[in-house]
Amino acid sequence: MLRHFLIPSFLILSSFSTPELDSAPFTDDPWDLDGPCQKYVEKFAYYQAEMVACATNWSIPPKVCTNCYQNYINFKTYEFETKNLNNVFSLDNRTCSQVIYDNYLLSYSSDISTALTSKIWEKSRCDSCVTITWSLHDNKSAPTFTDRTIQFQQRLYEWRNCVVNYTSGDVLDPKMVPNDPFLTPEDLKNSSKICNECKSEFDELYKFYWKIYTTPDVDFCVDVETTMNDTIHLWDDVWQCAERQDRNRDLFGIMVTFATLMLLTALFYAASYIQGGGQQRNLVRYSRLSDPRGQRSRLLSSGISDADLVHRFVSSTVPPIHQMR
Amino acid sequence: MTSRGRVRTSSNSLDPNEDPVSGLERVMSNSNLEQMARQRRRHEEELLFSRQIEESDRTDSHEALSARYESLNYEVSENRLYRDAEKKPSHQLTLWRISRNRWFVCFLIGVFTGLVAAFIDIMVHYSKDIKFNWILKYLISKCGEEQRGTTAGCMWTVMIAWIGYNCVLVTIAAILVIYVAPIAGGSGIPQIKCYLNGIAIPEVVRLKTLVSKAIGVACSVGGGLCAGKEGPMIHSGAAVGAGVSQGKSYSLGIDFGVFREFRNDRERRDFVSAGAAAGVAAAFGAPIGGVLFSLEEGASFWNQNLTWRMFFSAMISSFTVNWILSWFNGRSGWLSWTGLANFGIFENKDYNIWEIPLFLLIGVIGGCLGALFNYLNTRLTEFRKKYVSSKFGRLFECLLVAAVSGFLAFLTIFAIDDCQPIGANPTATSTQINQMWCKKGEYSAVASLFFQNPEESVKSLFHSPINSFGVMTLVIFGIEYFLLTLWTFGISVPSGVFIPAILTGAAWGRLFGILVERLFPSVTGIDPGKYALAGAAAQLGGVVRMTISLTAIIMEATKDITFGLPIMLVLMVTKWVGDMFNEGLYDSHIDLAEVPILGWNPPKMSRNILADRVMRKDVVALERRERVSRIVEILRSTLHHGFPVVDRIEESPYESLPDYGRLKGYILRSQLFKLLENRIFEEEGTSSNALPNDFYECQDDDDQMKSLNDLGLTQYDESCWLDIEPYMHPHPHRVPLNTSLPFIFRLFRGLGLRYLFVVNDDNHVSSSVLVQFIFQIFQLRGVITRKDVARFRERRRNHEYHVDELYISES
Repeated sequence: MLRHFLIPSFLILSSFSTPELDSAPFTDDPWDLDGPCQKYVEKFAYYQAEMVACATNWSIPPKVCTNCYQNYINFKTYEFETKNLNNVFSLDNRTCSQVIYDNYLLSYSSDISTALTSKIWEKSRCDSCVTITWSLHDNKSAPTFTDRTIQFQQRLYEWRNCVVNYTSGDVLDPKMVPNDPFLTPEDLKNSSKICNECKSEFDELYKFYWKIYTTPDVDFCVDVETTMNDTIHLWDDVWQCAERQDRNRDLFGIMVTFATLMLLTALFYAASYIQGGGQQRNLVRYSRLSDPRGQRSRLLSSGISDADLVHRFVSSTVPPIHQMR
Repeated sequence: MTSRGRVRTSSNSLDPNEDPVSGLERVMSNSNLEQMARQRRRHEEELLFSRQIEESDRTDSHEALSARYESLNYEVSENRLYRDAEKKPSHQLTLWRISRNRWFVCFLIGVFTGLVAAFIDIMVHYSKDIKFNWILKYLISKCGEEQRGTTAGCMWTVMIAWIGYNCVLVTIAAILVIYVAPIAGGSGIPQIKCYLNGIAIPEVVRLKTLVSKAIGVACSVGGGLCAGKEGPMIHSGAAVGAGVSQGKSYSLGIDFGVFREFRNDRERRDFVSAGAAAGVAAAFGAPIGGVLFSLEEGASFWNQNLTWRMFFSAMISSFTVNWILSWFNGRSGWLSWTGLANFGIFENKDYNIWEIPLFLLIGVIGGCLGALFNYLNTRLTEFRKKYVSSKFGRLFECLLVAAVSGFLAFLTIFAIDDCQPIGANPTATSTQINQMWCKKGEYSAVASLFFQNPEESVKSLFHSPINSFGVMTLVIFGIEYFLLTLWTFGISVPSGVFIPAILTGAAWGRLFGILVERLFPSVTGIDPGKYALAGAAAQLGGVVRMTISLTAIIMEATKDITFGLPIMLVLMVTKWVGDMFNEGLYDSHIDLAEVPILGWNPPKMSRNILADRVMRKDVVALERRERVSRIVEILRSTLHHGFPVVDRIEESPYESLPDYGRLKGYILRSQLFKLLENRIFEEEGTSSNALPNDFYECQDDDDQMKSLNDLGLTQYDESCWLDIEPYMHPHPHRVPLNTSLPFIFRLFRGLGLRYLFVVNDDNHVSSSVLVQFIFQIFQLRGVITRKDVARFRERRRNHEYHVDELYISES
C-alpha cells in the first residue's frame, strides 16, 4: 500500500515542471480578449485532469484519500494560484482571476474544482485519514496520515502477513479484491487453516476498527472503510471464517426474565382487580333532584330571619347589632 | 313550577298602601305559620330522600360528569369600580401599556417555551448517550471479550442493565407525577383542550406542573417508554404561557409585581393558547402547525389579533429552540436546525397519480387501526381508573411498563435475525450500529431501531434505503410498538402519543411500501419512505383525529409541501373511517375524566329541551344588602363560585324553594371574599377601607379560597351588614324560561359563559295589579351552569340520535 502512496506522488512531483506546460497556451485565439489568461487555464486543466484521473483509477473500490492526496494538493495549490492572479490582466484590463471565476453562463473549471473538492474529497471524508497542513503561498503543503489510519494499516499488514504465510505466495494481491477469478480452489482449501492461524490478528484488526467505527464523531475515511469491508467480506464470505454468536447461550436468562415479568404483570393486574373497584361514588341526576334539604334549604331562604326582619324595620331608631347578640 | 301563569300575591312583603304596623303583623304571623309548615315538609322530604338514595345511587355508570370542575371566568364584572376606572387620568396610559405588554409577554412565552423544549431535548440526548453509548456499549463490548472460550452467555447483563436503567428513570417520572403534580401525567393535550374550552382544571398551568412535566417527560422518554415528548411540550408551553403572563408563581410563592393587568382568566386564556402554539412550534419546528393546532383543538374563542400574536410566539419559540440546539450541536448561529422532532427531508419526492388509491387505502387502514387503538386504550383507562387507583399501585404499574418495554426491545433483537452488512444503510449513524449476535462485520437492523430515541427511529424508517429493514422486523416492530403504546398511554408519567403513533404508522407504512414494490416490480421509483410517511400520518390521524393542524405539522416537519396532497387525503379518509367507530383519543380521555366540556355543536334532538328543564332551581341567592353572618355561612357551606343578587327573597307559600325577586346582579365568590377580607362593612354608613384596583377582575385563586377562619372575623364583624350593590356585576346574561337548549349551548360556547340566569317570561298580567306585574317579569327562576348544559349528550343508538342525561358525580 505504501508503494501506492509513494509512486504516483513521486510522478506528480517530478511533473511539476513538465515541459509541455511551459509551452502553453496551446490554443491561441487572436480574437480572444482573454488571451493572456489562457495559459493559466490550461495549466489548471492539467492539474485537474491529474486529479480526475487518479480518482477514477481508484474508484473501485473508492480509495482516493490515501492514493490521490498529492494530486489533490497540487490541484488545490494551483486553484489558489488562479484565484490570486491579480497581476495578470486580460486585454480589457480585468484580472485573470476575474476572467476565470467571474464567468458568465458557465464556468467549467470552477464546476470541476467544486466537484473535485466537495463531491470527491470531502464526501470521502478524507480529512479523517489525511491531514493536510496547507501552505498555499509557498507551495509547501504537507500531508500527514492520522494516527488511527497508520495504526489500522499496521494491523492490516500484520493480518495480511499472517495470511501470506499460510498461502501460496501470490495470494495477497488478487485477494485484495474478493470474488477474484484468480482465487484458486487450493486457496479455498487453505481457508480453514487461515481461519485458525490468523484469527487473533483478524480479531485485533476488527476490534480496533469496530471501536473507532462505532464511536460517534470519530471516523475513518472511505478508503479505510472499503478496505475493511472487503477484508471482512473476504474473511466472512469467501473464506467463511466467521462464527456466529451463539444465541442459545443467552436463551436461559431471557426465558427467566420473560417468565418473571409475565408473572408480575399477571399478578399485579389480578390483584388490582380483586382488591380495587370498591369505591362508591355519589352519582346525581340533576333532572331528578328533589328539593333541597337541611342546611342548603336554609341557605336558599332569605337571610332575613324573623329577628332580622324586626331589626330591619326598627333599625332606623334602635342602634343596631349589639342587642342582637 | 306550579305558579306559572297565575298572579301571585306576595304575602311576605309589605304593601306600600297598607298601614305599616298591621302589615308588619300580617307578614310576621304569616311567616311563622309558613315556617312551621315548611319545616314539616322538609322533614318528610328528607325521609323520602334517604330512602331514594339507597335505591338510585347503586347505578354504576361510567358516564358521568364530575362536579369538581368549575368554569373559568371570562366576564368582566362591570361594577361601579370598573366604570370609575375609565375616568382616571392614568387610564389612557394603562390602555397603551396593556397592548404593549401583550406583545412583550408573547415574546417571553416564545423564549421560555423554547428554553423548556431545548432543556427536554438536551436531557433526552444525554440520557440516550449514557444509556446506549456508555452503559450498554460497554457491557456489549465486555461481553464480546468474555465470550471467547466460555459457554455461558453474558448478554443478559446487558438486558438487566437496560431494564434497570429504564426503571430508574421511569421511577423519577412517576414519582413526580404521583406525588408532586398528578395533573402532569399523560399527554396534557386533553387538559389544555379543556382549559381552552373554559374549564378550570385544578393546577393545570402551575409552575410545579410545568417542572414535573418537563423533567418527567425527559425521564420517561429517556427511560425507553413508548412515549413522545410532543404532547407534554404543548402542555408545558401552555403552562409557560399562563405563568409568564401572570408575573407570579403560586408554587414558589413569588410575586414579581409585573403584568398585573393580565391576572384574569380572560387574558390568561389568550396567553395559554399562545403558549400551546409555541409548544407545538418548539416540538415539531412547525409554527403554522402550532397556530392551527390551537385553533383546531383548543380555542373556542378566536380573534385576528390573537392569531397574529400566537404566530409571533410560535415563531419566537421555534427560533429559540433552533438557536439553542444549533449551539448545542456545535453550529452556533445556524438557524436552520429544525425542532425537536424533525422528520428529516425527503430526497426523493416523486409520486404518481396512480399512487393516490394506495394512499387512500393507507388512510382506511389507519382509520381502522386508530379506532381499534382508541377502543382498547379507553377500556384500559377505565380499568385503571376503577382498579389501579392507589399511589403505590400506579407507581408499580409504571415500573412494570418500563421493565417490559426494555425487555421486549431486547427480546426482539434477540428473536429477529435481521443482520445487515455494515454499509448497507449509509444513513445509519455509528451509534446505531450494534453487532449483538450478528457476525463480525454485520449489524443488527433491529437493534438499530431500538438503540436510539424514537424520533431518530422515525427518521430511519422514513429515509433508509429499501433494503435496510426486513419485512419481519417491520411487522414485529409495528405490532410491538402498537401494543406498548396502548399500554403506556395512561400510566402516571408524562407521555405523549404523537411519536409512538407515528412510529407505529411508519413501520406498517414502510411495510406497505415494500409490499407495493413487490407487487409491482416493474414500476421503478417506489420509495418505501413516502409510504412510511403516509402510514405515520394515517396512524396518528386515526388516533387523535386531528386534520388541518396535523397536515400542517407533518408538512412543516418534513419541510416540504410536495406530499401535502397525499397527507391531506390520507388524514381525511382516516378521520372518516375512524369517526364511524368512535371518537378521538383525547375526547375519550376527556369523557373518562368526567370533564364537562362543550363540543363544537349542541346535541342533536335537543330543540325541545327548554331552560326550565336545564336550569337548577335551588339557587343560593343574595339580597343587595346582606348580613355578614349569612355570607360567611354561605361561603363556608357551598362551593359555588358566584351568586345572583336579587331584590328580595321570600319564602314561598307553596313550595320548599323560595320565591326570588328580580335579578339585580351577580357577584363572585372571590369578590365576596375580598369584601370580607377588607372589611367593607356598612357599620357607620361609610366604607373606609380601600379595595384593590383590580377588584372587578377577581380570580378564583386557591389561595383566596383559603379557609375563612384566616380572615379572623369577629362576632361583631359577623353582625354587620354588607352592601353588595356597588360591587356586583349589574347586568349578567339572562334568558327567559322558554329558551331552548341549543340556544343556551351556543350562548355558553360562544361567549364562554360561566353562569346564565333564567328569569320569568310570565307577563300576561291584568293591568290592574301593576305593582305585581313589575315584580313578576325578570324574576329569577333558576341558574344554568356549564354542567347543566354539558350533562345533555347526544348518543347514537340503532342509527338514531337520542339525548341522554349524564349523571353528575359529587365527591
